[in-house]
Amino acid sequence: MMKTYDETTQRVFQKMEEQKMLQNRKKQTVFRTAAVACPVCLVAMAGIGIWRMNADKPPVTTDSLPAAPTVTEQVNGTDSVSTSVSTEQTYETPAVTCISAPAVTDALPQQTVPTVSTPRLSAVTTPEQANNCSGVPIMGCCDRLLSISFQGDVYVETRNEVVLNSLIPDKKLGTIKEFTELYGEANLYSGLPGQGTEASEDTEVYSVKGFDNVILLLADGKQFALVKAEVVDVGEDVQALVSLEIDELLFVEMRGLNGLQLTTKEEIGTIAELTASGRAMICKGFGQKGTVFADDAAVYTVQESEDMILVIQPDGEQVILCRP
Amino acid sequence: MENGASSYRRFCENDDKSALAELIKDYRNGLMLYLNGITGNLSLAEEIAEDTFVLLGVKKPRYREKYSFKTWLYTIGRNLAIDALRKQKRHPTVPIDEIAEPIAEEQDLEEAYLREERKIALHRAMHCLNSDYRQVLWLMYFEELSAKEAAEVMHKSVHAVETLVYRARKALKSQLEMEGFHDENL
Repeated sequence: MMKTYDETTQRVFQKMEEQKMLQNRKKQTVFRTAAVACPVCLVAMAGIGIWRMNADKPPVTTDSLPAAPTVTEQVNGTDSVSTSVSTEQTYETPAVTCISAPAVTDALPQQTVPTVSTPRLSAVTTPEQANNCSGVPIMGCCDRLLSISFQGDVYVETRNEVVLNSLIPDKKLGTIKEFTELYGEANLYSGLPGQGTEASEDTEVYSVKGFDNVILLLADGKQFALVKAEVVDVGEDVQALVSLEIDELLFVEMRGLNGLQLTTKEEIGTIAELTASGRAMICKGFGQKGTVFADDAAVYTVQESEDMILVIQPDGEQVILCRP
Repeated sequence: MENGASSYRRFCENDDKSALAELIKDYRNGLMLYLNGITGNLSLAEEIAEDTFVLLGVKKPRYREKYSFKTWLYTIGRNLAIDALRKQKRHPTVPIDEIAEPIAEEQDLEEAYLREERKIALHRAMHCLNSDYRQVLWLMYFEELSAKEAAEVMHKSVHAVETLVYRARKALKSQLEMEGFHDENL
């Protein structure tokens, strides 16, 4: 039966009401769902963000960590400061000897220490070291810069311009990403934020002509060098080579740069003179693996850089030390 | 009839339901007969015509005055009819009461809307034609739309509509001749 005009009109208005109600109900459902889903999504996103931030950092396992040392400084006089460090970890072969310790440097209270599988320069101060070296963390600065470890070797960034200028890229070894894929144990440490050069996975790695212990990284047209750090295993952790502190400036031995031709500028003095006058302090690496300086070894500044010094042994051997 | 546009505007701007009622009054029968030409089913055509007005009432689509209001309304109706036919094709259901749909109702509607005896006879003869012919003849000779407007409603080019109307007239002529209707003006 066909509807009349009035019936049609009534039916149209009725249908309109029904549809509007349906629309409102849909809107309410959407709002209700969104009200529940939005906080959940936000929390999930925040969680992912935190997880990704942590994923970028090198892995740290508590097993491999020596107990965090507590450093307390006691001022005994005007010239000397003694630092005591307490830690539960004991080291079997402490080999740090300090000739004199007039200078005062701040100890880094806590540093991140890598896992055993990826040996890396550490900034942890041992009790022996603290007693003998006024708590100076040997090569602690290196931990703050970029470093890469693969196949058991650790390469640490050097920002010395002379070093950088004298190095010529040879063969491309691959990218950081390829390294990490090829060598499962390869790891890239960006150092502390804002201090170490930031290298991405696409950064290209080159070998260097004439320097087996140096690798060059090229990223965004910039070149930076990483020198193989000759680390010595001590128990679970690793320490560095000999370091020489002259006039409160720390210079660390870098054997990877041996072969670099430097021109001496001015003789500072012999090791014996410097240590006797209190200007210098020598910290030997663990296990006596660092170069042993003879008393009459001469210390020179170099023309190429103020951040490097050259120690020439009596037999003519040249030892390059850089500021880390 | 172009007050259709002003009534619709009044409805959209002031939510004046009487304006929508006016539109239903003015356009319901013509739209139903046009949709009947597409669907071949008066009940369905009536349902679709209702839905067309419901759509205007709920979604309030924007009317651009490029074409007449009737052209625009018929285009919406045609689209809904095509949707309904597609839906019906997927889920074919034929209510029992529709099988024995009284032709008398359609005749009443024709008489109420067309009024002229000659037009009524023509409209009845159009039942034997195919859907496109029925549509184009209805739009151009009963609703008196231009070829351009008919083309807009049917989503075809003007040229296609002109060809279609030529063929539709020819088919209608032969249909009328078969029924013994002779007129020189055909």
